[in-house]
Amino acid sequence: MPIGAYFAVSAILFCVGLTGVILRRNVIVLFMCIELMLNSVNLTFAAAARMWGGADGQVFVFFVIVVAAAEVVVGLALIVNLFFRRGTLDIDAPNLLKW
Amino acid sequence: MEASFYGQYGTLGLLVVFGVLFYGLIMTVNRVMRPSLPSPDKLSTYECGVDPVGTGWSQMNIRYYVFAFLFVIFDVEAVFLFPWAMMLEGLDGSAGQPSPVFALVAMFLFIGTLLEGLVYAWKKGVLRWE
Amino acid sequence: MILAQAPGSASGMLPTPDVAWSSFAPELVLVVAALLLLMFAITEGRQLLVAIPTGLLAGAAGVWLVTQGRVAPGAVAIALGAATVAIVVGVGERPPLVQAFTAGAAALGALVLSFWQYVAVMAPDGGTATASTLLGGSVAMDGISLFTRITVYLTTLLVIPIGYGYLQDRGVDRPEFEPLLLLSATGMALLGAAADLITLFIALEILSIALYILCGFARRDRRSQESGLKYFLTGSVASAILLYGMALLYVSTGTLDLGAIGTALGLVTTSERVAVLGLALVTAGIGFKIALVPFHLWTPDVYQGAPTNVTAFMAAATKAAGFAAVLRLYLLAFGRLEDLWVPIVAGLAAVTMIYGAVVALVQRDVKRILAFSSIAHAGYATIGVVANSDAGLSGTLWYLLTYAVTTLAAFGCVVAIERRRRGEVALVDLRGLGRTSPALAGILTLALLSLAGIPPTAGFAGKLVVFQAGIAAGFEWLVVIGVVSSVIAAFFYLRLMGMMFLEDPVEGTEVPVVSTGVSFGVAIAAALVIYLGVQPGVLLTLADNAAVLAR
Repeated sequence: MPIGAYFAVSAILFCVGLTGVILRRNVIVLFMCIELMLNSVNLTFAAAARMWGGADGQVFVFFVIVVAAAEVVVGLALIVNLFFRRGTLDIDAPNLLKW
Repeated sequence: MEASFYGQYGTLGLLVVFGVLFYGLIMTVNRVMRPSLPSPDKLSTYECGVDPVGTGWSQMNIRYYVFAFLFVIFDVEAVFLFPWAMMLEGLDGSAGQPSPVFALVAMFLFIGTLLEGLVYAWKKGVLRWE
Repeated sequence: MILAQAPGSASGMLPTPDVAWSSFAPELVLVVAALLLLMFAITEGRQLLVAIPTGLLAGAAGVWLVTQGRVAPGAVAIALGAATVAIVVGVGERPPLVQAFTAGAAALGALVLSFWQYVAVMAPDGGTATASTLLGGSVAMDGISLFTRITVYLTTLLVIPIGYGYLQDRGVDRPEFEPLLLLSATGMALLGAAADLITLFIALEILSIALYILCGFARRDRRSQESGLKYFLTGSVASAILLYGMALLYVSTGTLDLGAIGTALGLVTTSERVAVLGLALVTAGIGFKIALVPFHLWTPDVYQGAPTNVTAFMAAATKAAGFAAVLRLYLLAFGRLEDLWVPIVAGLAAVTMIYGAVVALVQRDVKRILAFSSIAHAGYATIGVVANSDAGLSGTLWYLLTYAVTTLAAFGCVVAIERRRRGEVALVDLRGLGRTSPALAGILTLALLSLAGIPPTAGFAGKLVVFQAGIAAGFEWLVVIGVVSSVIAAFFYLRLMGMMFLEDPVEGTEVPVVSTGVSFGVAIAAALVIYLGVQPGVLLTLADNAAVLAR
């Protein structure tokens, strides 16, 4: 199977995630889209590591997974805090800061 | 290379076809040979466990997520133990290499750091289910 | 086809890096201090149980280091160990003070160790700086990393006293604040030292994740919540975009090492189209972190909503760290693509300078004004990057140090004005400040003059060096835009000064409370603003020497 297919899939996944971030309004869905973007990057790194025959790309994948987990924990805490205060998950609800 | 790659999918396809045929055969034999005595308990979706209540979209307690993430973090950190374990065997403290004792201490420092996070979560009452 | 291969991967064994402790000694101090502070946070009332073993361990390590001939780091370790026990014994009955003092001692220790790195490790003969990469090529020991460390740790040291009373007034003096601050500073210092993409990404995330929490730290305050959530969402999208850019660079070059990427991009066999796409994504991702227009949209909201001491920390330190990564990425990894990125980044710098200065004119909130001013200053600092020369590199580093002390002085004054008020300082609150509290108004004026770039302040010295580098590299038009933008900016700084000194105070306005911590931090920052403006010598030489890149 040509290695380009992996890059194509990961590019499509990345674009789906980015589109979701731009279009969706629910914070949890935004969150899932960001995770999708990170995981598409993982796929790129894994495929490229295979292509170059090196281990460093795969090591990067591990680090990205760890960082993504930490990011999710922090993000979820922020979202839950916001939800308890306002009772909504709409991204347009926080609107105190503007000019 | 590519032919053999798709060839592996061919093997998988054969396995699937064989599996479906075998499943059909066994279930048919089963149906022919078994006695049929239906009762409400037997007809419910799950014979054991709790009956499902409400729809699948009900809200979950946030604590499930907390536990899930604690698990994910420690699970993923375990990944870093494997390359370390692979390397530990080959270390002999010769030129340019750390000694095995040093590597052991370093890994315990890493685990200790994680452990402190767990202790912190524990003291904060994250692990209590109320 | 294979250009570069991970060393050792052929044999199935991973390479074992040589652990050069000296290369990250300051970060080690901060991480240990953060862990210690976390333990303090959960052992209230029994802090000595944690402090005594930690102090003994640090002391023993220090004695061992001294016997090994490494006197300076050993002395720092002994001093920190003693300080830990002394602080707990001395102010143990006031946990917030223990946290603040311990964090301050750690930041001071890290700052001392950074200077030690400069003197003993980088320039062993006291002559020109020598650069190298350590830890298997993942951490660079060169001018950028050292200068970034100094800027970041100085900022951390000053932010701790400035924020101490402020957090208590707002009722959010939770013990987790200082550990998060120290971890974020660790990430920033590592970002300045990162010599490969993995370290760069990890460092960026360490600093960002800690800052997400710090921005939302006043969790009952809706503005702070909103600030934290906005920073988190935009920040993690930017991280993902940056990461994809890194992945594309890896696809096209087959290496994660910044220097090796730079070499590979010059080869004909390298797929340049993929690399260019990677360059574009990396520019977007890192442009977000340093708030270049059009990636700046989060900045005013986040700066306004976050607790003011956090805003000060972000403005001063995050910018320094982000630019360190920018310098290393563009000059080292993208050096061969300069025809491509120099015009684009120059355009971004021009737009950023003008936008930051013009939009600040119509703002009503002081923190928001300072946020737009920070956007404009990111534009000035970018001139040094665009210059793409040694002079530009040291100019940007030097500019960020001057901006850091200036913005710390400015935000320190805002903290003082904001005390006992609900997270907002409108322009009208400044009216008549010159009469009610002249010292505070004087220092704020000094900071504003420095932001405007008027001699003899640090801001002037910073702009001068950066503009000189820009002209030397043939970017006269960019420097002209910079000067025009400075003049526009000077207009609203002057308006603020006019409000403070020429108008009468509004009836019923509370007189700002200047606590010991705030006056300590602000006084040092203000002294540095004048000192760096009048006597740039020592640190400017350091910045000049910093131009030696580890390749």
